[in-house]
Amino acid sequence: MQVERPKVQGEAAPKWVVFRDYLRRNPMLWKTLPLFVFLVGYILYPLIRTFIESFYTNQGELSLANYRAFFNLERPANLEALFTSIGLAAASVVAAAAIGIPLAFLFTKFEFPGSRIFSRLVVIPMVFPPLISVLAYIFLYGEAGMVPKGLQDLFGLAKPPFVLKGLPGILIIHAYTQFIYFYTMTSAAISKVDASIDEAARNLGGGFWFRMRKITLPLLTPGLVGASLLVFMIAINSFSAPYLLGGSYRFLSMQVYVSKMNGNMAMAATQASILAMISIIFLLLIRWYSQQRQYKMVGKGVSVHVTEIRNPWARYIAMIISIVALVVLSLPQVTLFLISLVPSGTWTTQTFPPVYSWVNYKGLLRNPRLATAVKNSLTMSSIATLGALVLGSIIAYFLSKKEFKTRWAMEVLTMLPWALPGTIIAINLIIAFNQPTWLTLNHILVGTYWILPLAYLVKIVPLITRSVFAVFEQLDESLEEAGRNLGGKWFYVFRRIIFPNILPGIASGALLALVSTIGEFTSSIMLYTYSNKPMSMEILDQMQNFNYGPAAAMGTIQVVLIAAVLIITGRLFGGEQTGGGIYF
Amino acid sequence: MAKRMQLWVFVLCLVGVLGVSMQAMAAEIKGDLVIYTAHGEEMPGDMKAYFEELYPEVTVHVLPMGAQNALDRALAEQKNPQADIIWGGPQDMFITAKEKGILQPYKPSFDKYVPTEYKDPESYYYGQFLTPLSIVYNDSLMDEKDVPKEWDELLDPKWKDQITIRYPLASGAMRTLYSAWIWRFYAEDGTPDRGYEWLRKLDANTKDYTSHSSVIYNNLVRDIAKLSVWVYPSIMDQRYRNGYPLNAIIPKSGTPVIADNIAIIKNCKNLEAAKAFVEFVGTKQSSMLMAHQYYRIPIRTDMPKATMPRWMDIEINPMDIDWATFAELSPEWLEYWDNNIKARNK
Repeated sequence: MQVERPKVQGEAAPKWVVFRDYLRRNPMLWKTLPLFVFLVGYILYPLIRTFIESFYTNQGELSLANYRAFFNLERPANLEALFTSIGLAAASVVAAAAIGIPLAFLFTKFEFPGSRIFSRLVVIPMVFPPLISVLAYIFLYGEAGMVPKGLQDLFGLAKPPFVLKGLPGILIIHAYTQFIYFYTMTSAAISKVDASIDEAARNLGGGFWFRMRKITLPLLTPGLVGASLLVFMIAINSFSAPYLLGGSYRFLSMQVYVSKMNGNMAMAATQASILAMISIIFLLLIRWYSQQRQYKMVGKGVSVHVTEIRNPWARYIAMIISIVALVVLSLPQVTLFLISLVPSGTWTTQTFPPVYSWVNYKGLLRNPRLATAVKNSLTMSSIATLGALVLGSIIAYFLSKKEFKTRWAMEVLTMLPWALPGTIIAINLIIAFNQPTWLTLNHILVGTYWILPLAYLVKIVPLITRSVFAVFEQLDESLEEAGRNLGGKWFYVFRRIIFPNILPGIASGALLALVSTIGEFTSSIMLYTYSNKPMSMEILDQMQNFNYGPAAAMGTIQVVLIAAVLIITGRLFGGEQTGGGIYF
Repeated sequence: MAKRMQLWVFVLCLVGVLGVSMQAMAAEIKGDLVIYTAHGEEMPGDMKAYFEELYPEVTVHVLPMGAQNALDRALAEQKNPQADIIWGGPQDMFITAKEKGILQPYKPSFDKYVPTEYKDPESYYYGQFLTPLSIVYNDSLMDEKDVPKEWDELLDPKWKDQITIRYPLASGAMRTLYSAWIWRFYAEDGTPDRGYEWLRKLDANTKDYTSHSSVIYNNLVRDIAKLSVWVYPSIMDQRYRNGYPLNAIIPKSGTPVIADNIAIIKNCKNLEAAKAFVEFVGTKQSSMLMAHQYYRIPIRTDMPKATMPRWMDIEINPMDIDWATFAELSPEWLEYWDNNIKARNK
């Protein structure tokens, strides 16, 4: 803000003085300005550019032609895609809930041998790199998949008992990757139930179902609604599963990709705008709903009421269910590893691969491109994470500790990229930065190294902001006050008190963000160039040549990398999970 | 004496000019050369290595991607070209690229060995490999005599739910094939209607449309479907190099032959290196190398048959296509197919 010296004037203060005084009274306006420049410039502006683009034809005329074409009943491909996507998303919510809620009850409410380990391993689907893992699913449950064909061989059936394909196939993959949201929300809600209330109700003669209805469910509902909205939003934007399993069906996220492939940018912009609108509506719903759920337990010393299962039969049943659940959850990863051991050309119509060897891994070691791709992925992820960490921390600080009028705008803008699928973020960036702007220091960003880290950054700012925000919210303000009262300077207090307290939370959020960008696929496929080709694109190349073995080997390396990061943060073995299914 | 001086001055000048121009030539061909290619990873990687040996000052960067994707990117980057060359892709795509003004004309020395139908009259792009479309099957499960020999035989109801097809809107080669199927009727009637009818019957036999090319290989190899349609050289590649039991038949009545083209991008950053690369991959030696090692059928008319791989000894009857009209109409046809025919005939 450049402020000139005021000229002495008569009675009426000039407008700019009024404005200056207004700014002085509202210092948050200019303090938050740099953040809004980022949020508006790199998130809102590209989105709006795409929206504007959708009102122009490919010939550059202003018209509603694209929308007319989209909603044209004579050419129903787009409408069909819209309804299929919505239907699939709704079904995904039901399927994910059907898996997540019972598992959460089983592992959080009851104790039996191994229950603790199970409850921690249940997050395995989080380590699920896109695309290649969908391939693992096809090899596992698809037509000629190992499980259906194995069952067919075992029981001498004429046909495989079931196969995973088309819509049900995509649905199962969605349930597999997204049940974790229901699991997390449910188990968090269960842990919140004050055991003493439950016990009091029981002592007063309340039966299991009565207590369920009157105590547990009311506490559960907000979490479940939140999870439902979240899963719906992720499922409607899903790309990898429809890409490989879509078959004859249409999906909105695929239509965007196909339109862009066919050079019809106007239609791509229109489809992207419609998809974005749906996502934003859901984002606002989630935000509205999470503000409603302001009711907390008032009792002190909340502790999870864990029921130990004493009945030996019930114990066995619980253990069997857990083991089956874990086997099913880890099979795709095991399959991925299995495929990585199969040399090209050896596995044809046999149920299981007849030959195993390390040849694919050896090939990768000899291939310098792999090392480059790993390096590119790690470098870009780190750049994006560091940038997002700085931005996210400042945003979270403002959101958590300050009151200001534009708070809602900051919150919504920050969360926006989280609702937008990678395809749309990529399209937005292409449309906005295909010409020099001052935001990009008068450079054209499309086709350069930096566009991909920027896409990653935009995508993970919400993730980091949320986790840092949570840390700030938990930070006891009296700590800071005590430090200040004892005469500590602000920076000293920050360095010695605040920073050590928030570090673990911030670090785990950052590593989670790092993980989600290491495997990023949907933005990468549209934005990468020779200088920044990431791992997921190397995998795609190998797949394109039907070199499934080497592709799976790379996928396995990716899984190992991601799992290592998760283990380091302790997320895999303890703590709350909040970021699962980040790929879809 | 004076004459001698003159001679010396002349010689010195000559040497100087030569030296300067030599230096200039060497100096011009250096730096980075970026190639968007639809030829996958290995072959461009190999050619990159050879090229860099010839021009040590040049670093070649190869970005494998789908042909459509390459065109898309070049279009998106029009104001700031990131690549110098698009290598691979069908004629109609290059016609579009030329019309949108993203190509740079260049007449290479091998111009005379490329038949007119496989190059641009104004030298904006050159065909390099013949890529015929074919009917694909698993020859460990099916006898050659049972395999359809002609496109029309694919419509036989006995193949219901037996044909696996790459989703044509996502693949340059399949777009060409689908449009060519319509073209056969359009050329006679001036309307695509009979072509649409033909595609309806094919759709009734189609088991699934997959977005990814490898899934059709997998479907055939693992006996999930019996038949497919795909480019012939890629099938030979999978057959001879990866050892999969895949084989293909080229319909005798005529098949669309994609001339895999090469072109230089307008306003590219390294025009000299781009020209040198076009020359280099167009040589007889390069063509022979790519034929043997990478299953590409050279377009060059002066390749001695005896030196070519035996599987290339095939009869190709190119479908008669007016590629400019084809490029113009094809998007409309495919959009109609996508909206009104795809998966609606079960």
